Amino acid sequence: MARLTRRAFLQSSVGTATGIAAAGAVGLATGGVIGAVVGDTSEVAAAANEPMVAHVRIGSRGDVTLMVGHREVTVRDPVLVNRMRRAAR
Amino acid sequence: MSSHREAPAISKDPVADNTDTYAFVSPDRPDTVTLIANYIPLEGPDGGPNFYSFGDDVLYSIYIDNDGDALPEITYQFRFKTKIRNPNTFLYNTGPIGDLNSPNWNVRQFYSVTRIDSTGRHELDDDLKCPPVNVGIRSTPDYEDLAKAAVHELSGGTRVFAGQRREGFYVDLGSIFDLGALRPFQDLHLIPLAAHPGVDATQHLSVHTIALQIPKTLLTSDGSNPSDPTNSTSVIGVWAAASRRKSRVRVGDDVDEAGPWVQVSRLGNPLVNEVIIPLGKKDLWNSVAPSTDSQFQPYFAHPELAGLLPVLYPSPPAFPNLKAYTKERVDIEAIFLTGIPASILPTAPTFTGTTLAEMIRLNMAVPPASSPSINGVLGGDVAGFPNGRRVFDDVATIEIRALAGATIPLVDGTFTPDAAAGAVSDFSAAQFSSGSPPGADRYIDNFPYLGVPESGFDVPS
Repeated sequence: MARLTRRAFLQSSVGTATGIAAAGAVGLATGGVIGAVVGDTSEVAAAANEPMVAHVRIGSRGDVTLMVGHREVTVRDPVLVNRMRRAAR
Repeated sequence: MSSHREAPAISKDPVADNTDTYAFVSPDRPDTVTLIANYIPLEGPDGGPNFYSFGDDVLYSIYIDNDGDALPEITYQFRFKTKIRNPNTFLYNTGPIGDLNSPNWNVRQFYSVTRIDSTGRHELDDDLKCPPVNVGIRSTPDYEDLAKAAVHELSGGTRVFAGQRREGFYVDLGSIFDLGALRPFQDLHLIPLAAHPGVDATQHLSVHTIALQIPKTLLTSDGSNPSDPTNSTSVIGVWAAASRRKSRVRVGDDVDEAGPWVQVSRLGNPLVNEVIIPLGKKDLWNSVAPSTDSQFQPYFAHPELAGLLPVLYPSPPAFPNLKAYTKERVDIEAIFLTGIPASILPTAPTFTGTTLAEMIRLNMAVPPASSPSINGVLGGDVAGFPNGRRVFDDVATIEIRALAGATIPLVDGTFTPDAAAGAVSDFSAAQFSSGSPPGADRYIDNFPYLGVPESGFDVPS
């Protein structure tokens, strides 16, 4: 996949490969992709067993940034963030 | 060396890199013990404009085992915080720094001290001042007084200091790591060169020191002031470490950290991870606690350097008896992993039991020596290394000689050490006779005992 600008990505369908893969990776029922960077989607399958880091910087916004391999995806999902906060207690 | 850049991972993380750990009965306050943990290897005094400092993102720890189980009954933790007065200048200081509150000092560091023991977690102070580094004659004109002002009294008679000091460890780094050459003996090396005095590679360098002076009664398991060297409560095991948070995420020019502390460096006795632990295990060594050290026992039983010495000095053979010795090195295991029992060192035993754990063991009931020998126990001075470690002990020579077989007769009367085992060193006898190394100005006779760091203006000259 070619490099996307944030604006172009937001204008595209939520169901892009990157979005689906990212959402699927964390079992999201809802939540839209609000940003993404570099990465060939063919890497996603190969990266299935790679370590993945979830980073919540400002919990009140409901954003979760997922980092796997060289890729980074941010999703806005307040429900997921709340679940993560509860699990981390 | 000692433990400067000794393992692949930590060599890339200097602010968390333990370089030396010291533990000794304070010569001027013999009812106390001084513990020193040094960090940041090979620190050049002129390292500006962002001079060396402790890591705000590192947890620095000193551990004390006082019952021989290789677990810390007492832990001191140190956390640092850097404060910048004026972020709109590149300068460390905007004029002379006359005292620790000087408005000219732009980049200051403060720290907290926490003691953890059987009674809980005790925050001893949370806003202690570090001194500045010794920038030079214009910026830090009276550095000695600045550093003295950064010695703080804590509750219960404990003293603390954290900041830059003179490097106390002396060694001929360049020669030793050039295929194990010792300049004074290099005419006998496998690749010979004319014999030459050793080079004190660390002579003008600095370190960052965390030093504590603690009443012995706060260190023993029963609160007593030890006076009987044969009483097991007189011996403590000491090691220091550095830890980082498990998770670190960069966000622009900011950093988020989370998760538990993960140990990235540890140091008890000098030179262990340096020359006894092999490359493939060095990072592991730094990540684990002494209580797990039985996994490393084979490297102490058959030290690689003991096998190399006869190869490196073959003609005329300098170490024929060492070469023929194939038994386990019980002497090395005693020095580093269990302590030395009273049957071997009756006036200063450091044995803490059969648990194999690499710690500096100090018998606190042994008084300071009135005429100390830099060769410690090998020099007939039982108040020195490996009964604890003082700032001036020549640990490189002591350990080279021990590995060369000088200490085998302590545990195996059938062995006769090679003559070279009692003579090898990275410096010549004439150098030691002249007092340099280590050099008189390298140390001071009171806390924190390591000398005033050289100034960046003067070094290198």
